[in-house]
Amino acid sequence: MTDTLCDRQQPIKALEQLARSLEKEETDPLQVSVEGAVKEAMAEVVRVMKQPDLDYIGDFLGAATALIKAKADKLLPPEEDGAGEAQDAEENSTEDLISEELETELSNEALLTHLMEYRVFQDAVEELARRDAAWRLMFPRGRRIDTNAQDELQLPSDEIGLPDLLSALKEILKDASSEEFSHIPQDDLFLEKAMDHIRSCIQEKTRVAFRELFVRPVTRSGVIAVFLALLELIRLKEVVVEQDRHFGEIMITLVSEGSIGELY
Amino acid sequence: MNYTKAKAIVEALIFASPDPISPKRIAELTGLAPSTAESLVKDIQEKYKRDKSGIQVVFVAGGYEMTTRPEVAEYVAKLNVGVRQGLSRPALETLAIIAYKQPITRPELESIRGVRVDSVLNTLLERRLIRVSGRKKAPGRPALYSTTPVFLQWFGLSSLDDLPPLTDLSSSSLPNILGSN
Repeated sequence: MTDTLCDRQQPIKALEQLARSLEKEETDPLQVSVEGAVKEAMAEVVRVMKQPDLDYIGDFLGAATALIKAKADKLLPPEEDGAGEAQDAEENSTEDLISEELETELSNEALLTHLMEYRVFQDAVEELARRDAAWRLMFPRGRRIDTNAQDELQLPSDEIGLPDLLSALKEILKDASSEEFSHIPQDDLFLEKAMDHIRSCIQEKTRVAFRELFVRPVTRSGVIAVFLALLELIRLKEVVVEQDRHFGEIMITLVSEGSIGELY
Repeated sequence: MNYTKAKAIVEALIFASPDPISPKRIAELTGLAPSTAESLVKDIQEKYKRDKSGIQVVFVAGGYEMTTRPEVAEYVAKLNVGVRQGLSRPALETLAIIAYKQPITRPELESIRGVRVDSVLNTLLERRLIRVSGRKKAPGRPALYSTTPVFLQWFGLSSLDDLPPLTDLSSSSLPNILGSN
């Protein structure tokens, strides 16, 4: 029994002895591998510990921590001497001041960089403001003047409206399988995936029919996902929804994609 | 095709085109060389100027467009054709940054402006001055914003190269930015 206890304490004692040896400067800290010593002691702990013993593990961790601290104390720059809480507080306060000075210096530098970058655009803003005012007085022939932004989702007047889209959606839903689904995920990724799907459909063919957007076999959740994504793309002005004739096919087209490519 | 007829056709094309029409497009439609088309447009511009006409031909967004002259704006406005609203200072600042640094993400814009830009971005998107041009390959795949041809038309720019050059600020000009300190 005593032997067993001695065996159990051996790894802890080994670590404590090494820590003391470091503190007394009997051992060169550079020659001590904390990792190696702890690993070796740990292997011994695993060997002698027959069943989990939290107190014993706590003692072991304490000894390992003491060894790490002993080596760190010898190798890291010495801290300023201090005794008692008052001195600790003063020490902390000095450290805080140094840290604050450093942070202030860094934040000043960041602020200067930020101000420089911001300032660079001010002349451009002035020029744009001047042009904005000048060109507001010239009424273009044939081009619709966007007089104000609309907050709500609104399709351009010469395109089909939301009720038309909803009635087309009903038709698609009729064909959709009636699988049970409890909820439609509303996270950004869900919408993004559906938006990417529409973008890829349109980029392939330039102009696609509303019905073609829905992947076969259509499911109710899939239909609603694509429909919500389409509304979002309309809101972002990435696509327009048109109908060549009354009761004709509803077509989805990229907004001025050709002219953007030509101009940029 | 003689000169007078060619000029009349070019003038008609600019008049009827719903968007600015490029010299290349005029050339395609008329069979004229683009340089000839440009030369004819110059003559048309001269004619309007000489006649002190209320109409002018301007080069904007890569093409020619007919507009009324600024001098007659107050009368044209009475037609109730819709005078466009000016852009707010925050919108102009945001737009300027996008124009020069496109494509750019919202966090990058906010880093430069130092304020949130959500609502300004929405306004610019709704006015079609900017668009989502892609997604950045970064965590969260943030949207990238770029300007559109409407941006060029709005500010009467023929292309992005027409943007005024950014002021070159060296570190020596920092005291000016920060005042006397």
